[in-house]
Amino acid sequence: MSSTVNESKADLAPLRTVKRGGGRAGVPRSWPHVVGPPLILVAAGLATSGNEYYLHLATAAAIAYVLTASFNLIYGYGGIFNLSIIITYGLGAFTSVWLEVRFDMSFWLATVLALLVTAALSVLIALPSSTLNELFLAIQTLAFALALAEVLSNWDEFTGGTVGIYLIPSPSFFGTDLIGGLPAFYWLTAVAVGLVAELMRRIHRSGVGRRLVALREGPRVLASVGVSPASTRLLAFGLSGAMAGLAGVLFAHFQLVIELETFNFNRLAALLLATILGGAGYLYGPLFGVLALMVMDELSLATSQAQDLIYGVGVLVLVLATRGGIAGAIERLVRRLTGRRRRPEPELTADGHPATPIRAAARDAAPPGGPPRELEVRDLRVAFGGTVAVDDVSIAVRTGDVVGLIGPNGAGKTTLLNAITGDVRVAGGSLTLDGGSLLGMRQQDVVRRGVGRTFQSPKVIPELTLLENLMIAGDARGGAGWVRQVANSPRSRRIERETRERALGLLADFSLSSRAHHRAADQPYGVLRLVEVARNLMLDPAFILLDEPGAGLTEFEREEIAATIRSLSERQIGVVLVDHNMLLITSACDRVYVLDAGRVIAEGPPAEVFARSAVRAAYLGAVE
Amino acid sequence: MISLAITALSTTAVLVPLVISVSLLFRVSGVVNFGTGGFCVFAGAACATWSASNAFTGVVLTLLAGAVLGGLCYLVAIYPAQRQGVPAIGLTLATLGVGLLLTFLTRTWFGGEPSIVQPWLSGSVTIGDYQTARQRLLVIVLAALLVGLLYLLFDRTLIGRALTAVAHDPELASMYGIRARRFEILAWVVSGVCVIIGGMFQATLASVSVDVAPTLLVYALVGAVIGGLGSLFGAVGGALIAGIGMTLTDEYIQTGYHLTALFVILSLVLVVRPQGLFTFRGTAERV
Repeated sequence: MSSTVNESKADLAPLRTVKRGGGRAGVPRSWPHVVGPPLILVAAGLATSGNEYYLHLATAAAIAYVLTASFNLIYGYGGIFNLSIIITYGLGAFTSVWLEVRFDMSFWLATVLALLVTAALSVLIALPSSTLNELFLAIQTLAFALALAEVLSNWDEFTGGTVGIYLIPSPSFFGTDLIGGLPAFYWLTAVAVGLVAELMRRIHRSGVGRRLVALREGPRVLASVGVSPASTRLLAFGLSGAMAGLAGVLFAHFQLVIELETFNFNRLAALLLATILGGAGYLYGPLFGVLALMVMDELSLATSQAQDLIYGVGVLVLVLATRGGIAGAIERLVRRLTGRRRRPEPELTADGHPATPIRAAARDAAPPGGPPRELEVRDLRVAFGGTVAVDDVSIAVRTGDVVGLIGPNGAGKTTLLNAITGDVRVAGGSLTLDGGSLLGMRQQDVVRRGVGRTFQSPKVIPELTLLENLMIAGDARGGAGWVRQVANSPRSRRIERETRERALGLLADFSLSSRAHHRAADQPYGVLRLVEVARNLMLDPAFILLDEPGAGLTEFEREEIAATIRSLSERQIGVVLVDHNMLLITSACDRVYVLDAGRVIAEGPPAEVFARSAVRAAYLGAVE
Repeated sequence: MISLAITALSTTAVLVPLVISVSLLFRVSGVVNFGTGGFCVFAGAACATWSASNAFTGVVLTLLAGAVLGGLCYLVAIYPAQRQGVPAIGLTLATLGVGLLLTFLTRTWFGGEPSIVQPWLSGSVTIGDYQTARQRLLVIVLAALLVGLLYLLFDRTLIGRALTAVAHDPELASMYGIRARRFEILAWVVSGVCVIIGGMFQATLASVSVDVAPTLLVYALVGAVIGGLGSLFGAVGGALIAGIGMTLTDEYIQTGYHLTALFVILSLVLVVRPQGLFTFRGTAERV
């Protein structure tokens, strides 16, 4: 199984990239993060109010922050390289102005409508692109941005064609006109920016942030804990679309003159630069990025409009020299100074403690005395082209059973698990849970009905802590909706606390308490396997499918797994166990199915099955 | 009818080298070249300036510049990043940076105005009752020749085999004694020359300016994706579909909606056949 070990190491290689700052360790929840942004805004406003040029810069920077935060949300957190954000920004600007001029709407109403329009547009782009990888998504969204600009440029009333729109009305607030470029408008912008910063902080620290990072690092993990990656994606698109629209609205009323040309490719390049330079995926990335870009812009003004030169060199240096941008560099520096540098952590050893059974957190799957639940696979068939990987296989598992699934490599064991959890298409046969069919369901729906699984190479989110990795599953189970989570309602706080306690309890059961706040990326293989099992238990499954849980583990870790399987069975959870370790299989399983070339060649109690010659032949070659 | 066909073919002829260039780099280095637009505009402006006295020297110089720029782009931006393990999206960003630098060079060396390269063949011909510039036909013929040449290079020589091997798995290729790095540079040089040819074609038929760089970029990217990234056949097919689509939109729907037409075609292709319209078993593996 060395290949799977290698694969998982590659998955978790330190992310030395321009993207993916990660940066959720040390989740900011303390008061400096709440009052910090408003203080900065007030200080900037007071400092610049006397000087027209500085005030202009401060307002422009504040608006750029909103736009950059919007791209940071979708790309930095969600990992979606959505280049159409630039036209979303422009659309927000033109829509609000058009509504005010054409329908004589107030600024405030027009702003709300413009945000709805841009959010809707953003979601619309998300729908057809859901299956694309990031490069194709970049191409499609860029093509969309240019196409929409082309259409808009032909709509004279809306964009003023090549001339642009003049005489943009200024917002009025209880009789005071907030005219772009004057201090009053700065304060309007400052309020909006303060709200956006607070929104970003809440997203960052809540389950929404966890889900977005999971979407970026491993969409399959999301599905395997019952969260729909598709709806998480739409949320990212919608929210960032609305934020880009808000930036556009502010920009239009700040400039008082807008033309489509402003929202061009160069502006997009500047936005990418600011996001990545600041630190994609970091809460404070956009702040640093906007400041850095402002410095670069001032420099290029000084050196005769060499903006392309400065940006071009900037991008190249960024790609080559930085990981996590400015925010990432600061985080590393802080870690170094405080002595909390990240390094690979050792494997679990006994340290005198015995492997503990799970106590605190797992609930009984079936009420004692009640009827058992049953997962039944009948005549299941999976084919890849002409190859039949699973050929008319029938197995049945009841809650409380531990069923082994063994067979040589390539026998179809993992494919069978994939078929049960809706990961591959089934060509024939039936698949039922308590009599209801699971066929054609998406993985997240299968999980929600009580069938959890682990993967052959553990799939966890490297940039989240172990605790957060478990909490993702809790979010799916009983999580408050994203609105509640962002609003930080009492209910969402209570759920968050409960989820957290439960996750900590489970980590304790797996002897992982001391590492709860360490990032998964630094953990050895065996720990990740345990985390994956623990994450499944967060979901209170009725059935759990374990794909080679013992492979590549240390002695102690394997005992931990064996103890877990025993207690799962005591808790009346049905277990399907795929493994090559005969000791584990014989000691843990009530029944064993032997697969060879996609077919079941034997089934029964372990001792009986292993005595048969066909099984020996499949495993060891012919014995006779 | 004949006029439509000629227009569609000449649009295609401009796109073909661009799409091949994008497609080749994707195949060999896994990079989508976001600097394509910058390269094109540089080519048009350079050729216009350097051809002022003698068209032939101008073209040769521009082609050389394309080869050098392609190679430089790889050595300066891509190779060091690859060594650091930067993922595909980061490399793509690096090409965007190169594009910006080229735009800067174009502005400072040749000025930012639209540049027009004088047609290599002057005058016009009449086919039936349709009159068209000789240059237009020349460009179509040259594009066809280019495709033929690249076909011979990539499909009929050991160089092509080696390149396919490198594209597939550079490590394995070097174990068999292929100097993977050299072949990757070769791919970038060829790609640089191709994109420069596309830029010159465009500048002889219409004009290029720094403002159209993003538009040319999207033409090339969309053409590559709808044909299927990675094969010569797919690249030509994609360019043809894009060319026909834009011409028909101009003729039957409304002029000035090229990008919209391309976006619609792209979206349809991505829904119906995301691997590209001209990707089949066997062709997909070729450069």
